[in-house]
Amino acid sequence: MKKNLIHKSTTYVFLGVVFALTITNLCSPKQTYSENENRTLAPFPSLSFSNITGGQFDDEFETWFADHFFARDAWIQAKAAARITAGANENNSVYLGKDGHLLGAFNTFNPDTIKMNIQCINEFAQDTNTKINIMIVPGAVSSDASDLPFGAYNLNEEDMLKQIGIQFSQQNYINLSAVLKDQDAYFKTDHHWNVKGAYIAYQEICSSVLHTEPQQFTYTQVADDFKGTMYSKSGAFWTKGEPMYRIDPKTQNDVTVTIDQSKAMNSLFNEESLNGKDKYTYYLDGNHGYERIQTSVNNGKKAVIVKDSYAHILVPFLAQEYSEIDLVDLRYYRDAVSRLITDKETTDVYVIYSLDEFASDKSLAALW
Amino acid sequence: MVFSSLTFLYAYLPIVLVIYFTVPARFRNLILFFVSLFFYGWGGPVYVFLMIFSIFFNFMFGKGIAKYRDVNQKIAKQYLVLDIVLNLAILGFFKYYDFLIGNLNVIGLTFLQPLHLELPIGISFYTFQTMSYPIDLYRHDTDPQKKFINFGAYVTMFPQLIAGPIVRYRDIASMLDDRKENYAQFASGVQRFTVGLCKKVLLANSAGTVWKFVTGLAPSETSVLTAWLGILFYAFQIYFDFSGYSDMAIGLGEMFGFEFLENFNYPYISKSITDFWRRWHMSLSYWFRDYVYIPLGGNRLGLRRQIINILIVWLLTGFWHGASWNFVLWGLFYGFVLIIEKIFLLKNLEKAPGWVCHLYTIVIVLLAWVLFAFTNLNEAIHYFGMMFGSTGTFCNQATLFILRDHGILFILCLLASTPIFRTKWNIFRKDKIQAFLPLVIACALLLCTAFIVDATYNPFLYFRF
Repeated sequence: MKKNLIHKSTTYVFLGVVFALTITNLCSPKQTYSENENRTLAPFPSLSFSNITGGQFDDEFETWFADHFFARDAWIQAKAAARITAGANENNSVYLGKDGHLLGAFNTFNPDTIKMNIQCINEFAQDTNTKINIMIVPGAVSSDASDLPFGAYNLNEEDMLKQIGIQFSQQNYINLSAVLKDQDAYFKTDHHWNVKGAYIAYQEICSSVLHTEPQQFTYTQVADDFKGTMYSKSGAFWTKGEPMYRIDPKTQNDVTVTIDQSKAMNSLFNEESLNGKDKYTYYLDGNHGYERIQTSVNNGKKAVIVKDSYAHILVPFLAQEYSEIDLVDLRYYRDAVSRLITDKETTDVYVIYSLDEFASDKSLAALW
Repeated sequence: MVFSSLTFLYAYLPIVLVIYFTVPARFRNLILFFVSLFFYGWGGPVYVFLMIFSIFFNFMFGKGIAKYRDVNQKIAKQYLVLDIVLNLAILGFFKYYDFLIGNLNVIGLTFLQPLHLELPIGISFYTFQTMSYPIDLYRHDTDPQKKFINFGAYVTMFPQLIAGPIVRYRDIASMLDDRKENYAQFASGVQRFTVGLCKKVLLANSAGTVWKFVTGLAPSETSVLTAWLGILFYAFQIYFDFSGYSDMAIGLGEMFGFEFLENFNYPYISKSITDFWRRWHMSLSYWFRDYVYIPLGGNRLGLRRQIINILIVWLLTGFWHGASWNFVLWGLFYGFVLIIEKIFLLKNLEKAPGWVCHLYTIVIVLLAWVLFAFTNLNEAIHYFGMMFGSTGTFCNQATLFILRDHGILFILCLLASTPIFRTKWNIFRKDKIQAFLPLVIACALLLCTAFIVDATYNPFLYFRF
């Protein structure tokens, strides 16, 4: 009798779970965009004859079904929690560090990509007859290594940066490993450096490129709930948001930012970004192929910066030092960079990349 | 569609359960046939026709064999041979044609080119399964199936269609004609299915990420211990993946009133390779034993002939696993080890202490998995090198990371490879705790769902594209 009861309850609990989830999923509203994943979710596949017989329909349907499964974020968070409970120190390659610091693991890279990137930059310098200022920014796993959980494994970024520097002996290579070390120079929930990190880099540029004293700035908190890329990737959605700051010079500086030769702003900051999830786009409106910044600094100096998104938070500081700054993101820019270097006497050329991107992005080949 | 997908769990399965259990018993084979064809056609609708053709001719040849087996052996045999040739021709064409042509091209014969056809899902499984029917008929091991629908339901039955176990017709013939689904069996099926799902989603997939991590490391970063841990995690991945799938198949079968034979019996606790192959993918071993090894003469024609028979079986076993030389090598490697055991080693192992036997077996199995894991022989040799110290470090930061990050997973995999949760630590044998069983199953399902959803989580971080 008792056995029979357990059989029945096992049967009905199983059916209950399966049917409850099926029906809830069926009835819950569908979303088209996932903020945490920063992407548009898959649309329902086409029911055309060719699509069904061609064998794409099943994959597309399964992607659609999974993309729109109800309470997606809650499931992902539950998995992250289960991993941590089972003693893991990372989830989806993001370390859960001390004080809620989420650090993206850096343990594989393609040596050929780095080699090629170095070669492209050196050849570009030779071709244009310029000395390039190069800044490859280490990641939080290296600079804030003391925040890592026990047993974390990352490649030795300091070594890599040293090795890269040797091959840039003809350029002005700025190694930030030492100055960024243990400075809390990174966002806790995002892979980028924060205003402090960017200011340290600015100080280095002042001493090794501009040969001036760094200026002072004021910082105004503009958000207190920034949840960045590492927050999204880790699935550790219980992590609290963190503040973000606007950077203002002590002396008035009027700027115009022209994006891809069309859209114009008269600020280095896009206030609208603060309403969305991807708040880092507050700085310079995020990724664009080409941005020209004109300032009221009247020294006739120009900077051409070939960069990834790490440079965005650094530009508000550099805007105090140049009349004009051209920003180029080679992932989207299709023209020749050499054309932007109009007057070699007054132009400083920079390459500013995170090491992570420098070790994996192949678009630097477009430089040359 | 795999069992461990959201589509299966929360769309296909509930619909099938509703239809199956609302129709009267006499239509259930028909329903099973149709939903299984749908299941099969989901991944590639075109091959449904191949499947139906295969069912049709095996059924018809079966009729012929049954008709003549008592009257005219010769005609019955002709039917059988024709049937086997046709089955193997289909399998050979889809699975081995490109491999053959590729090899001919290598030695300079380029008059034919590979076709690059997509492999029909589960063809290796269902061809073997279907062939058991005419052979058993011919040998008087079973009676002919009179209803096409029942035979179709047997061949296509979605629980075991694409990854086994290889169910012989005679083993479920009676259930096809008459079965009574009941709570005890359904509940047992639920338990079994849940165990299989957990093995696949929680253990196999997680172990797979560790293996992927290890193979992604630069050689200079791979220590000896890391290489061994890597192949151990691969061994766990492949075992929990496969046995988990078998568990799910057996569990689903039970829900629909079928009892399939076991496919795995804790292979990693074996004390010899002979023992290992009595515990690993048993339905395949039985198949080769009954339909190849014994017909070839087995061990009845002297040692020399037996050795040849063993080598033939293992050549075929390797080849069955995939059209690639590494699988052939893998199969032959096992063939040689089994011959050595047969000739003298097994007798010595029986006298040796238990731990020696276990260590010997697991090392052989792990070495074989290296051959299995890499389709490229040079990569396998390179990996062997790293296991035996070619990189010069025994242990490094990456090793520590694996142990720290996946240590508990490792221990769980280790324990789940033994019967301990069934025997000593089986808390559900106590009556009081047994009442919590449904709750545990519900939690396990939810946890697996979380892992399955997470596997489709694909953050598009703008710095990576």
